[in-house]
Amino acid sequence: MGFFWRFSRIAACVLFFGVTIYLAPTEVAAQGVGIKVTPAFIEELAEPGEVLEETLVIMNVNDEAKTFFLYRQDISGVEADGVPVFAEEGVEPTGYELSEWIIFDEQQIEVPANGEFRLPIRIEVPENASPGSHFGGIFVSAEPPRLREIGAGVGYEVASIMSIRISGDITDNARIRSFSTNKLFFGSKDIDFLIKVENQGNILIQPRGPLTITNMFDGITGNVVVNDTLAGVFPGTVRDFNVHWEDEEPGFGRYEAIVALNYNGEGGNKTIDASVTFWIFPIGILIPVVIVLLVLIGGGYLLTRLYVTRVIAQTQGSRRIVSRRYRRRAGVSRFVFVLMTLLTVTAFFLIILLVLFG
Amino acid sequence: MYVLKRQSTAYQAIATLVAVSLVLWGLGVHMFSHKAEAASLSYVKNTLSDSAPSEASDHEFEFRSPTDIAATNVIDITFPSQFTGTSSIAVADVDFEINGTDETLVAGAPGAAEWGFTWTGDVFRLTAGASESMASTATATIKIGTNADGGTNQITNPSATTSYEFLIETGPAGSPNDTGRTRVAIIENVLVTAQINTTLDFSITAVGNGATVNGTTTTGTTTNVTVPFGALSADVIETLAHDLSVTTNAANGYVVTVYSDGPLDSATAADIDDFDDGVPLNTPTTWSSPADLISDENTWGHWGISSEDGTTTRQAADEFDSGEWIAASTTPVVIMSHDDPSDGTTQGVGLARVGYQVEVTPLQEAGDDYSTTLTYIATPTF
Repeated sequence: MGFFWRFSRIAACVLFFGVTIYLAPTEVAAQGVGIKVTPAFIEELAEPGEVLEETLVIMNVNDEAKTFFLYRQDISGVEADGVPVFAEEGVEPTGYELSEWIIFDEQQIEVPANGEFRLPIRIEVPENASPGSHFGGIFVSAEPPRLREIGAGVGYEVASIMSIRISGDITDNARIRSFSTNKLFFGSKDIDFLIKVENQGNILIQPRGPLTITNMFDGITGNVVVNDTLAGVFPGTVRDFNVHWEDEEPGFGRYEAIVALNYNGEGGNKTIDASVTFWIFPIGILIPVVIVLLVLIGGGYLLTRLYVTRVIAQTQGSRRIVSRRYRRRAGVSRFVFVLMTLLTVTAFFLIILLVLFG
Repeated sequence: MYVLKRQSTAYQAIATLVAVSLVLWGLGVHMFSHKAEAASLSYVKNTLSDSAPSEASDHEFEFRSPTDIAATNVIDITFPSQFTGTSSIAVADVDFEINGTDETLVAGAPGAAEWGFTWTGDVFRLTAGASESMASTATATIKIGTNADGGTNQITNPSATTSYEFLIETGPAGSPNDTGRTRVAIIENVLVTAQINTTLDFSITAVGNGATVNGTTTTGTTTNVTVPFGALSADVIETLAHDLSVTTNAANGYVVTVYSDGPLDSATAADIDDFDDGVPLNTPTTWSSPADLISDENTWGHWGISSEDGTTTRQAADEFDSGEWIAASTTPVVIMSHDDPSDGTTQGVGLARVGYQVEVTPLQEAGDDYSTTLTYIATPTF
């Protein structure tokens, strides 16, 4: 009886914990909702009258089937850093529109959970399409739910943006509006450059090229590629490109930076260029050395004067044989002597610095 | 004695000048000197068919001269010495146009109605015949390479990635009237050996109670597509959050904006206004309670949004700091961005937590249906 009772208790415990473990809720990783589109950026060349065909793949990042709504919209411009600005209804046309060229059959699609939908798209370029770049986007939109309590329903959209360049009498005119450094004098080779590129044409340009830094002797001390990711400059806009250059090697003297950017214009690769100058004075080296120099020169002068005075006093006794008038003239000579010494030593010091670091 | 004193003063002056000159030279002041130059050519440019290092390329020069190029005058183009293959360029590889009209070119000395072509060292020269000229209002186009009619030879680019300057001079040989300079960049082309489509994956994930969003602790739980504040108590701040993630291989990154369709509206026509006190703020500002003025219903409650992405395409002064909020505007505002490809998981690159916060006062009208919609838009950037 005692054995049976003990066995029953053990069995009950095993059964209890087994059921508990079996029924315990498993921790489920957080699953969001979203959309994935491919391609998200379409860039093509086209002739007037040409029809381009693309396929937009839309993936439902969701554990449930979802209805997405599709619509087109023009891009009327860009903000800083290439952020597209989508045209609102009723806004005056800019000439860069293309939404009406985009044709697809569905206005809403049903995409299964974690599944995808392949949307055929045609871009029908009109015969009278104006030469140059045209911009627009296709939006895949999930509508927000209607909330029945205090709060907000959240919807989300992903856009696939397009840049179509129509051949013809395009205007490709760009310039470097300004090229500058953040300062004129630097203590080391740690320079920030700002290049403002202005696109005065009617095509999207992607300027890219070398920024070369040369020293006073026309030796190349640095070379950086500007806009390696081919960020675009929208027609009629100015875009900033920030470039940072640094080098552990110390520098000294006057430097010149020349930036030359290529872009694909009419007939081939065109270049726009600009230059800027700046100085590098390694203050961390200069100040201590100048202080030491001043101490050495000043100390040398004082010691020399003391010695001469003592020698004169010893040989002539305590009598002054130097007239006041002569001393005044000697005072002028001493000033010039000190000045010349300072300048000469500084000059040679600068030459040494140039040789070492220039 | 007087002569010696004069000599000594003179030596001192010379020594001082020498020392000053050395110092100024050491500082690079001499680089400011400008040579006197002739008048400038305008619209000077050189278009290459290929800018890659060590590749063969066509050149197309274009310019306008401020003065006439008279008969027997020359047009000289000095190439940087790093460009090679110039000795292979023959007259058939050169076209010269004035205002789009082909001119007759011959090798060597020209006849009266011809232009003569020579290439000596780095200098490309066209010489006007006795009855040839180019007016100051005309545009000159010089094509060198296969872009010339019948051209078969090209010039090879230098091997170093940098820029190179060309000098164009016009006028009498040896004493030009006008000069112009143009520069080309030699740089590797962006090779497309395999086409990789740009993808953009945007998702929203709910955040639970007790989480931190931009210096504040959440007081409730969102779902993936709702921000349910629940019942609001006077003078009690309610905070909720979402995690936004973007995964993309777009070379220049992406931007996420958000807009609302208005304040939190009730069917009773009451509303909970935008932060702050109904004056929509787009500059992130530290949260403050509604002013609770009996005469102004805009001050009875407000709500706002925030983001943990502190480096976006917003103006520097408009970036979010800890504890700062803006109004949910009806026009899209940037809430998250990155200027390179992103992984969807790294904070500030492909991941950002956004917060939603509301506070009402005892004057806020009763209602259980204050609601609005928020819409996030994710796009690549140019």
